[in-house]
Amino acid sequence: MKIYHLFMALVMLTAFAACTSNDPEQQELALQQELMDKHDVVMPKMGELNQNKQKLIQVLFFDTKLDSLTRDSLSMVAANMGEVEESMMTWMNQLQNVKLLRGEKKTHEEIMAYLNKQKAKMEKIGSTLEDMEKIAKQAIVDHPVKVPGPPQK
Amino acid sequence: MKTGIFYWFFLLFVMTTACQLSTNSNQPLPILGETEVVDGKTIYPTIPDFRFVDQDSNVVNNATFAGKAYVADFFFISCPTICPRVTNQMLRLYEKFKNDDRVVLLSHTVDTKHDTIPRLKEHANRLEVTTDKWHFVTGNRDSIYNMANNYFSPRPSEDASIPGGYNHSGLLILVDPARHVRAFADGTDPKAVDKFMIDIERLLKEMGTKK
Repeated sequence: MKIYHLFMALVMLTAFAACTSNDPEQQELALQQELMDKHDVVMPKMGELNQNKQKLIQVLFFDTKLDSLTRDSLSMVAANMGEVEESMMTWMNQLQNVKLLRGEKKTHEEIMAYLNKQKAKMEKIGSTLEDMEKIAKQAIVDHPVKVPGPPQK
Repeated sequence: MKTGIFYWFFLLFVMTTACQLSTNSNQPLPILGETEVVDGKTIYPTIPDFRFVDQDSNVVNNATFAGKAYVADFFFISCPTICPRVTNQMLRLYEKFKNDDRVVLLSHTVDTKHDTIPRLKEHANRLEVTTDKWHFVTGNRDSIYNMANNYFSPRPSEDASIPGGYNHSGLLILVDPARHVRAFADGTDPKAVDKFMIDIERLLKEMGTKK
């Protein structure tokens, strides 16, 4: 008898769990959370990206021995780093949350497609950031420059 | 007999803790950051000159905070995760020190492109705060990031465990009238902000009479 009750409780629990995970809104919120988690991994790297971009610009400005090919390619990296900063902020400003999308009467499929698209965008920003950072860090090591300090008062 | 000894130890513990707490709150806050000794004098790191613009298009620079203590943080309006929690804690500070002219709040946006002056004004209005007490500033993005570096450089190493880069860590920084960083707090943690309020009180005690 005891085993029977235990079995039934397990069945009910499984049915409830299955029911919850099939709830469209729950799925949307879970995907939104996944997206936010990705954002929270990339966003903290923006400060370091900005600092390395500034250091790279210093390399371009103060290293007079850079050949034109290296100069062009590093200029492009610095420009791309600026674009990553811009795209992160623009992404954040255009982002719509599930509550807003539901308010606009979007279907579950539309909301999921939107969130997946945003996730892909965030992944792209993250991977571009990593690539640019790698090149910038190497360039900063390869081309150490002495930056003059602020004028003495 | 055993119970008696237990009570005495308990009383001793309570008294020691109370004594320690009172001693700590009466002591001045330390000045944070690496010091230098020049000509026998200890030099503490200071916040360098800055110049930004606030929600009322007023220039905000070091002179704005002359004779005052201020709490600085970094945020952006569209931030979906950490910033709203930090803003709530900044609002607590605003309410607590609303009537004390010696304390001002300074929030820097790191999204200088989208957080324009009208948008910062709208944000301040939404929070129902006044400009003289809480400046929301914008400026050149690189300059704001550089300032963040200056504010965070005296951060004690044990605080390095706070997750996130400095512009997304939610850290609050307390600066004294001599431009020294005196305390940090995790602005996402209400308990840490409770302690930070005590730190501000300690600094105010050091600064003297309420205006």
